[in-house]
Amino acid sequence: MQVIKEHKDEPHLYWGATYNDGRFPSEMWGSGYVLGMDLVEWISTSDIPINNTVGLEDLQVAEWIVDGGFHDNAIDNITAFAGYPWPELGDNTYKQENEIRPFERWTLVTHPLKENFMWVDTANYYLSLQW
Amino acid sequence: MAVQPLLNIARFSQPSSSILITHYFFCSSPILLFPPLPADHLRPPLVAPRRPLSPSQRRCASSPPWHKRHLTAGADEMALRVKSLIAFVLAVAFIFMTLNAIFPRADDRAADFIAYANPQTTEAAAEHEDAEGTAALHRASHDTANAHPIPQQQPTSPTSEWDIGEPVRQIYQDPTKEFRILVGVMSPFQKAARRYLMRSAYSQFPKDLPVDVWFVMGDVDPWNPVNAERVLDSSRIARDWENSTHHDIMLVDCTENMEQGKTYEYLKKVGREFSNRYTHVMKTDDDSFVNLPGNYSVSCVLSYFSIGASNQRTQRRTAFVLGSNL
Repeated sequence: MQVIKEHKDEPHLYWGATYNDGRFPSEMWGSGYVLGMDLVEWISTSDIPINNTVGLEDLQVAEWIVDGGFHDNAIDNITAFAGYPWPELGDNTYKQENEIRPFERWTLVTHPLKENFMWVDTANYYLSLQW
Repeated sequence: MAVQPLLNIARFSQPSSSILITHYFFCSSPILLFPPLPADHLRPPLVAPRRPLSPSQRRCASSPPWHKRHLTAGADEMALRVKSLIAFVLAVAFIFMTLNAIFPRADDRAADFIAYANPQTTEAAAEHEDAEGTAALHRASHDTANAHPIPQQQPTSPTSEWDIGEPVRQIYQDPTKEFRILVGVMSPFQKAARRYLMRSAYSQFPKDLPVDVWFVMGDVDPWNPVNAERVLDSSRIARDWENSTHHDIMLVDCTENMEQGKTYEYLKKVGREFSNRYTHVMKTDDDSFVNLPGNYSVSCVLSYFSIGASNQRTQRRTAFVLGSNL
């Protein structure tokens, strides 16, 4: 979380993989994103999200932020998101998302690890590193 | 008995030439058709063996004769030049790759899209530059008649027909608060095995990380109305058991769902109850592994050939533009 910590004092922080390169229309949204607590407080008290809660939720969080006008500090880092290095071992429906790039030492979120062995392999890699 | 018709043919009619040929071919012995060749040491050599070269002849074999030495006079120098050129190109490529790894450039496709979607903004910027240039010219020529300050247009932020405009309200982080992040893992009640794995793995990271992992859980969806109460009650009891053991389950006030507002309930609960404990909030699913330390300082520089270094320079700030990002 050192990458996030560098944006500690910034307002309106949305940190995630928001870029749409055509191959992954909305799948990468659910893998993870970070919100500043100011935005979360605003979401919890505002009226904008209440009327727009049904649908693709991870997309809708961005829509709320745009509707509220707090999209001035949206940080996009698609390189922090990766997949399982051997996607053919898992479910074929999630193969394309895992093929985006294999996880590395500095990958923040590895997604989607639908099978347990995929999750354990990934965790075993990161736990074997010297932190 | 089999050869009787053939003998009759031979007796009463003239046999055709093809019959004769096939008869000869099949009745002759393979030894006669393909007689064995003599062994190598018995066979006379087809080409007379050359005398082996003397040491002086071997030394001169690769070089041209004396009277043709001008044909290959500059070959060594040319070879040296080609080698040095290749080495130079490789060195330049290595330097560029290293620089690209250390200072990677962000992807500018979204910025290009914004510029494409807002031609007025770029035109205004061009006019702004024009105005500055003409002002400098007037100042240089000391023309008092045209010395009025030209109204310089402030560079505007990129706006489009979809853009809302200024924020409705300014809210800021409190810089005095210590960094602490809440990782909310959306995990339904049925994924107990995955939660077990995640607890076992995440607990092995260093203990001093400013990260807390919570599992966000709602009520189970009882699809059968006959046993709905029993299913709900038993799942709540089991959930309380699990939470009393591990203390890492956050309940949200909704039924488990994918696209029916669980994220909103989670963020609402965090914003109302945990806003003083954490400075940042993360949302993930239980099919994602989050690299909790997220350290990149040393190894990012070492491996220059890697493309996907998630350091600060590969990331870029984007304004969400409906249609491209959303």
